[in-house]
Amino acid sequence: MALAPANPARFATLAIAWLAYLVMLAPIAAIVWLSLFNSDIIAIPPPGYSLRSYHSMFVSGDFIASFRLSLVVAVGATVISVVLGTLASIGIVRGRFPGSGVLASIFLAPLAVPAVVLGLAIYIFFFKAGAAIGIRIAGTIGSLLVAHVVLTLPWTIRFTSAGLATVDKNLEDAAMTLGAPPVRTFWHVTLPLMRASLVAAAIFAFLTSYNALEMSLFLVGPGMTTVPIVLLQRVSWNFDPPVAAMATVQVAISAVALILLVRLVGAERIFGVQRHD
Amino acid sequence: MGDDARPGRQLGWLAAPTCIVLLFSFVFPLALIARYSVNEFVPGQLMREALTPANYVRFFTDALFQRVFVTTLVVSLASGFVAVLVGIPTAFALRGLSARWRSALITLLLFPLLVVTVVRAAGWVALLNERGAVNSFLLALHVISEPIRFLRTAPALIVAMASSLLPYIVISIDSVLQAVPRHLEEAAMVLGAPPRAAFRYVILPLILPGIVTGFVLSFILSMDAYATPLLIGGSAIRMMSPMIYVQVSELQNWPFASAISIVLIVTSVTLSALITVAAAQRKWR
Repeated sequence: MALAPANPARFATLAIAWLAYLVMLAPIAAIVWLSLFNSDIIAIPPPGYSLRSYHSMFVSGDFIASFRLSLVVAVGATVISVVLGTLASIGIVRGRFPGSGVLASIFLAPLAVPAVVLGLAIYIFFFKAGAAIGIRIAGTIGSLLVAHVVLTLPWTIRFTSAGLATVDKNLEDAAMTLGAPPVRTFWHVTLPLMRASLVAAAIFAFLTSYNALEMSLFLVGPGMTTVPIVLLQRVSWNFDPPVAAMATVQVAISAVALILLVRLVGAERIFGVQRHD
Repeated sequence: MGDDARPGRQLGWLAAPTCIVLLFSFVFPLALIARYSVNEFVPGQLMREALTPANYVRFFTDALFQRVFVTTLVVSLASGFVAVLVGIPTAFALRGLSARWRSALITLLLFPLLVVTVVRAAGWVALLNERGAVNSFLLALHVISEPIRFLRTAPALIVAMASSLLPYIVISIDSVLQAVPRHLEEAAMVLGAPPRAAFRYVILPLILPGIVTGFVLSFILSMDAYATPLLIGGSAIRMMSPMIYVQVSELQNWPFASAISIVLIVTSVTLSALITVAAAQRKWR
């Protein structure tokens, strides 16, 4: 901190900044604290501290089932959206065609629509489409997967097209002049050069899907719920230390993702890549 | 880029699979709810095909929904405003730090963004409950004798919402502030401007674009908020997103839920555009 001679304006600025960080981080710290209570209920001050709520979490069938579903959907949505997003980025960035700029902004449009609205629209559309062809679509894992892909695609397109834009096209041209066919050039020259942005895209997609709450609201049902939905229900109806343990796992996953992203693209650029509008 | 002989046009086809996915899971679904929003709701049999403005009329004339609409607007504007007031000094505090401190503090700023809102809202519930951390602390210190009811009050909801908007605001102000030389306000003050005037007439016009970008983004995010209003506002302070869910899950009223959805999209897009245009017109001189 630039320690200028003590002046009240500087002091007030720093005080507000500390308050801002406190307000941003206190709720997260509170959840981690609660998860360590050695008690069946949330009673403050707690009788003691232990890891027993983590044990109760892992022996509870509900929790495990939702973890499994969230992981399956998040991994699926990540793979699909990284592949589709990379292809789409090549299409927009390398293939110059009339309207490619417009298409690029249309690809980011799902970010501008409230997730609850998008979730409702997809649910109604899948319900009606399923009814029309006589197959149940809404409420299946497949429908959840497609809905999550809609959420993760804008991010993977953003990261991969930013990565692709930094790849020197002369290197690709050199490879092809030397006789490499386009697909091989892409696989051996372009892809390795944009590896960091591909990994960043994958991490971001995974986290976006794993954290998706509103999008899944209409598509989940009894026996098929994701972690954020279980958290929402349990916090509303039965908020106890194992719920806090489950939330802490969510916090830990976010922390790992953040550290990886910072290593890959740098703290100051994560956001720059995210929203450069 | 135009001088290469490579098959650039054909590469465009690689975007086709994404277009197809978005057509079936974004464009068609939104078009469908726009259509359903003018259908007629018939209890017991979902809905009847129609072309009626009834759902929109009901939303804007029924006292309950009018209140939900106004609450959503007021809470969103207030949380964005509070976040800007706290965010400006925070962005200034980040200025002039060493590169190491800066990236550490920015990383810390990004952390809450990646933690899902339901977890942060749950944290606020744990802090602000009748038997929560804040009340227990104040009771133990004998500052209060009865627990204060924070949950289901507007200030608590606004604080919780503003706290989740802060990272966006700070980052967007920080990105414009980095382009402002530090000696600019010093020069103004050397020339006789009091600190307040130096901020108001020299710095503020330069960082205004960042403030507006951050505010518009936070306004949209608050309008769409689901978990925070549900867990902290509860039944006392109701906002539009949770209302959409209730209309579908409890009443199966698809046409009305669709109409609320369209109102939500149109309102947040229109107001954001208005704020951006108004800020661009006013020169702050």
